[in-house]
Amino acid sequence: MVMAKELPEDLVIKILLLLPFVSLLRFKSVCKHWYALITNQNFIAKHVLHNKNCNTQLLLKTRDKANHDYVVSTISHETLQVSLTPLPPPYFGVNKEFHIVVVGSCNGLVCLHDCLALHDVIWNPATKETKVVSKSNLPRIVPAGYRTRIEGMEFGFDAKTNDYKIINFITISDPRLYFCSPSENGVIFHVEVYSLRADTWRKVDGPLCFLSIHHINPGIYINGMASWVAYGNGWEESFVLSFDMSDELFLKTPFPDTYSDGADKIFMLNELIAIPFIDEQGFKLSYDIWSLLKVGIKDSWTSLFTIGPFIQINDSLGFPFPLGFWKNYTIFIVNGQLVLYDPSTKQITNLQIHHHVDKEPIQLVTYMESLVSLEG
Amino acid sequence: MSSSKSNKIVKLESSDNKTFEVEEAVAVQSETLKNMVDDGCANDTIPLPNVNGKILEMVLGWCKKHVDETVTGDELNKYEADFLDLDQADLYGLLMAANFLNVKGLLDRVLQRVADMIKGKKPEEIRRIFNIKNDFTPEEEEEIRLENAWAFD
Repeated sequence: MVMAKELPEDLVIKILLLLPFVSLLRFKSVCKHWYALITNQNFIAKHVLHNKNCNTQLLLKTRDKANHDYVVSTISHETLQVSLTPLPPPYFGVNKEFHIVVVGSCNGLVCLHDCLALHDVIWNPATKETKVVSKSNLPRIVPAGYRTRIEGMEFGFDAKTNDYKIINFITISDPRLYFCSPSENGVIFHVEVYSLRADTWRKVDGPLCFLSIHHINPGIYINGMASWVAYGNGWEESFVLSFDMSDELFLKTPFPDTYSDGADKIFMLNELIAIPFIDEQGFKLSYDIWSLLKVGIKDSWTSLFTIGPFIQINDSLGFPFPLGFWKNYTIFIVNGQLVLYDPSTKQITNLQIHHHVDKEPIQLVTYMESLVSLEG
Repeated sequence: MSSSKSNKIVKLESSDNKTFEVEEAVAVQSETLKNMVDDGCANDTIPLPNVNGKILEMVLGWCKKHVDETVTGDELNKYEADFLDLDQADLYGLLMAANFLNVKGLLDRVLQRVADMIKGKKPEEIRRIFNIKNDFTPEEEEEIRLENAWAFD
């Protein structure tokens, strides 16, 4: 059976928009016209919007136990099938000297940060396109003996200008004071934003607060807003700090009163900010998952569910720590193993993914495949 | 008797000269026909040279079903599902007709049906279905396949 004549282009486009990403890749070779339609960046942007919810996967960064190599895997959202992805060219075949952090992922692009060389790479794992982001050469005053640290980073999309941005949250401080009597006094804060379109860094006004002690706090990015757990008032106070990628303004959301002690990590669950608050009673530990329905509004915190309790059997086995959510399950890391926890049955499934447990945290971000190009 | 809209009949003629008479309420499920009615062009038989009788009958059947208040939600869902169980030639005709006549909901359902039907197919099959000429050289085609070889398994 054959369709009598060629379909008009607008109908072809409407059909292509409904196809899964994998079909689009295959249909690039149907003919030159379809190739042009599928690789057109406007079409790709529409397709990304259309498929936002159907296409999510998880991107996982781990280190191999044996040879310490970085392993980036994408995990299918439907089946939890794991595929390995080689790191992009600047890092390929790299030795253990590199320390890579996944800054974030958005619309199919992934931003990686090299903590030692201090540069970033924006990468599309599906098309293998990469761009090395030049280091920021914005002027910073660094008094003698002071240390410059990137405390927090995120990567996201500014829908108003159709631009991808990296945000760096930097502190310049005296390392001796920093740990002895932590306070914002004497600390210089910088917020710098990189625009892919302009290929430059720019300074932005930011709040005087801390995002982390040791590791870079990568935060999360949801629908145009980057968020981190932040600490103010000399680490006494903690709250959620959010940054709007379009307006380039910061918003603070205090934690709910029940949990004024705060939390360390922030996650995404159903396109909303989710925080696992720790409820520790002796040897038992539970996580109370709360979701923030509207950024900036403390009253919009909603209690979702509780995971656990987990019982600490002995000191050598740590408590499991949540890494992210998948459907109704929670993904945990327990002693370097990735496991899936079903809150309704309390069953634990080992995902057979291992991570070399050293100082470096394992990372899991939401990812979707796309043909978005870095050329713009 | 005043010509109140609810009693008006719209006459349509398909490409193969079949005539159909439907109530205005049914006809205006098509935005195209609604515009004609609003513009006062629907008093005589409206010729539809790009829709054949078989397809037009299907489309009007869809419109009638969606205007019928006695049809339950479940019945409508089943109707819509069965409706799209067509061979490719009819599906194509329906797609073109739904697009031209701009019938609410029908075009979206047909587009989704076509997408579901083709998503797993190979490029050669796509060309056959849509009657598309392959204008790539074998080398060019191979290069594209290699770009994302895993997608072709």
